[in-house]
Amino acid sequence: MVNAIIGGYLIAVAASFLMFTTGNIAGFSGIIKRVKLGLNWRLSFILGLLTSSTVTLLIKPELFSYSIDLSWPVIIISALLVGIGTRLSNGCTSGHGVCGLARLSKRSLYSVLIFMLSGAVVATTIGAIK
Amino acid sequence: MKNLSAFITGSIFAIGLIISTMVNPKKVKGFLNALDWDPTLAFVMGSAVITNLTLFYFIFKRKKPMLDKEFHLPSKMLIDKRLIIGSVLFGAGWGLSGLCPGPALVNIVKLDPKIIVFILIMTICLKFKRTRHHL
Repeated sequence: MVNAIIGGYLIAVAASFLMFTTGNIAGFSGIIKRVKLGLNWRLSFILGLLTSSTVTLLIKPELFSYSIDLSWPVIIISALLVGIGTRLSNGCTSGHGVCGLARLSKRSLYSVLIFMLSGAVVATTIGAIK
Repeated sequence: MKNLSAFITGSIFAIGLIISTMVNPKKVKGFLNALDWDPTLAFVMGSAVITNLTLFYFIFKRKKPMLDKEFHLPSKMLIDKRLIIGSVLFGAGWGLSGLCPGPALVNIVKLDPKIIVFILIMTICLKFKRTRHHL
């Protein structure tokens, strides 16, 4: 639980740092949608993310010891739903969730309530079948 | 400078996602499963939103960000069909695999072909030009 709170705190500090310095929302779906090759803030953000993930994997591999235990159909269907869904709603857990709620955006509040509910219905149903 | 700032943001964001176990699809599915609820991620989201609420309050008291002329915030205010349908679809995909865009990107370092295919498909969907039929 302590790690969860520290992790959430770091996520918010990162998002606030980006807003304070560049005025941009740290939302992954928007960044992936608009990223271009070359020197720009979106690609720098992704490179920073991958660099620190790699460093963490090298110095503390136990943090990555969980397995990605997902079947190919689940991967493909889920990727389509996540890609098309976040494209239509202009945001995901980071943009609408972490940043949008903190901006008191009404669109983000609706989006978060709906995707949490929809996610809970699907995860609970699949959990019950298994 | 903006690029350096974004690089630092990405670096810290990744560590937050890893430490909080948000990168582990099983933890996410556990959080979304009402019959076998794992509350961990509620603390992640709670801590992140409360911290950001406080920090954003002070940031938006300024007229502009440190390195740019203005804040880049969405102008759209309307709760439309695109928002609702998109959120339903995204939630369903998230609940199905336990992956959302940020944690999926961090998981690239595991070099699991399934993660790489997930990101390829998701990126194609996000980047595909808007079609004629508007929702």
